Amino acid sequence: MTLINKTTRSFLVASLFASICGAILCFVLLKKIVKDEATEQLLREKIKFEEYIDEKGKLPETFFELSERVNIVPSNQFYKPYFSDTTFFHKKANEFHDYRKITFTVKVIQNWYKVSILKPLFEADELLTALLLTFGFLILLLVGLLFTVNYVLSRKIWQPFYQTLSTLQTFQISQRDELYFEKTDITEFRTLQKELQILTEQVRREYQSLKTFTENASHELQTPLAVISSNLELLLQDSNLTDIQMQQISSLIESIGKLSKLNQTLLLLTKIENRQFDDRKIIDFSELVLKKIDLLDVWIKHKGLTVSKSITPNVNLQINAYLADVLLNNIFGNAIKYNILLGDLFIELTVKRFIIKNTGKPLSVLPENLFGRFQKDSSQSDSLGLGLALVKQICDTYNFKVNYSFQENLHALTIEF
Amino acid sequence: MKILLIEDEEQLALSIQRFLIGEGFVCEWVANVLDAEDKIGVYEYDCILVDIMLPGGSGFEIIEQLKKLHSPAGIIIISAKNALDDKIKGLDLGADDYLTKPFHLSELNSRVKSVLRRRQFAGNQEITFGVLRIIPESKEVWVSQRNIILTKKEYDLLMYLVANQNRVLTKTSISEHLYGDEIDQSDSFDFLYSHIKNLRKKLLEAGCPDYIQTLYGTGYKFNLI
Repeated sequence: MTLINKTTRSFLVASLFASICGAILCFVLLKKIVKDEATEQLLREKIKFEEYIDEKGKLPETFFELSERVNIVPSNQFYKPYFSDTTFFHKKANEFHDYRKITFTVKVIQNWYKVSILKPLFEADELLTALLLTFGFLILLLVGLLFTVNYVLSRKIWQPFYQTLSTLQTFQISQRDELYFEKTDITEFRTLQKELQILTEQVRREYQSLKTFTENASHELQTPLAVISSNLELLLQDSNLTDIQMQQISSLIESIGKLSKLNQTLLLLTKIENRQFDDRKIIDFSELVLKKIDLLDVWIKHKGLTVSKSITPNVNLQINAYLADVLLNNIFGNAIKYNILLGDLFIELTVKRFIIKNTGKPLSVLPENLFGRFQKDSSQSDSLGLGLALVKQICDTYNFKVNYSFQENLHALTIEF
Repeated sequence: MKILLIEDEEQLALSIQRFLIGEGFVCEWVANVLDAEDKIGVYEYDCILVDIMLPGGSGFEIIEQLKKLHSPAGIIIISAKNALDDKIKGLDLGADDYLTKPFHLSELNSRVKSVLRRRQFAGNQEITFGVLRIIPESKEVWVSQRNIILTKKEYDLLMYLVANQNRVLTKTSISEHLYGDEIDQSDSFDFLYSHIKNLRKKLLEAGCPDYIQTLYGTGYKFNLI
């Protein structure tokens, strides 16, 4: 629900409530006024009536000038005057009419008469209809005005807000320039823009420095590693070394190699996380998969694997070329490396998904844990435990769904595009 | 053969320099862009190894300068920045090769020799080692008068061994040279054994002495017996 709709709705409910209350109050008040007026008139007529009797000493013959309905009956006692409300059925109009009635007694030459004078009141239902019509019209007018005013407001007052919002939507953490908001003269929006400006600028700067840090950390770490490994290599050429010493040095070189690879992989993960591989283009994934299988053919043959592939041609993905390569390297690498000798490898690619299944030893950890960093099957001590973390990170970047399962001695990795 | 090494990390530079001198090259070392520009302005080099991140500028400037001077020197970029953009930029500027730190000295050696070969003899050259004769241009291998047919990987392996003759080569360095990052190390060692086995068999069958010496637990050494 938009801001405008929300406020309009609240206003509508409020004005509806106010109108109904007003209508009820009006109805009650009007009724009371009419009734009081009728009572007053009746009292005046009573006085007139009594004056007439005092003057003429007899009952009046015609009452037209007095009231519509006068009823005189002989009585044998005195009543205190009283008011009452009655309803009569009006034959001509075929409806009930309300009347205010005063009853009192007069004495004309030793005889008591009971006199009742009736005065018609406004008809309640007609009053109600009139009120409903009036207030209905009022509500309609209010709603119409509200919408017009809100529309104008949204066009004018809220305009800077919506502009700020759309500017914010274009913000990308990796953008080079500051975010620029169009100026507004509304204080609240100006504050909002100022705060947003500060916030986005901070985020942007942090990101930039993180990026620089990533690059520098890579450089700073790789250089000492290079120094160690090249010196070890020089040392290895010494002709006076015993076999044991040579083995020790080469194992050091191997470890340095692993360390360096670990460093590079962690950096790669960070770079993907920081979205530093933003440039993407349309890549024929089918072709890439086939090329990769070709390239790994020696390795596959070496392990004696049987490859069954079903690859839909021309599956195009919008993805960074380097990341696509890293993704396939890791997926195929795992499927071959953790395969058994003379095992099977199933590769299936459709427009919707990419599935790789391979035979292998059962997992010692839960499949979903494999995507975490440094999570590895305990039997594979020489693995870095970063391969599937990389796969996951890349898939997350492109909103691909990735899933790992182990069923009937088959490891299956599924990526849904 | 004269090589200029432009590298700001002294420890690394010294080990590279020592290694290259050990290989029979004349190797000079400078640590910044200014010194490097002085050197290339005055002397001629056969090969230049240049780092990208240097004090006082970038290695790219030196490559541009070399191209302006129409230097015939081969250029190899050695950088810790494994950034694809840098690699493309360097090669576009006219560098012959790009090596990411950390690298194996034997790998650097093989690259330097390959660049030198391409530059100076336009590939038209023979390498001899004992009874072995290799013609890089046509990738032919002869043992005395007998031509032997090698697979691409076996040929690459032989070239790597010959380039690093008389040196101890670790399994890691050879397998990285042959298979790169694509094949996992633990598997690539198996792989390497079978490639070495096949190469050795082919050479022996052609009457070549066993130049490949196995160093248990370490790697191999290619030398005349």
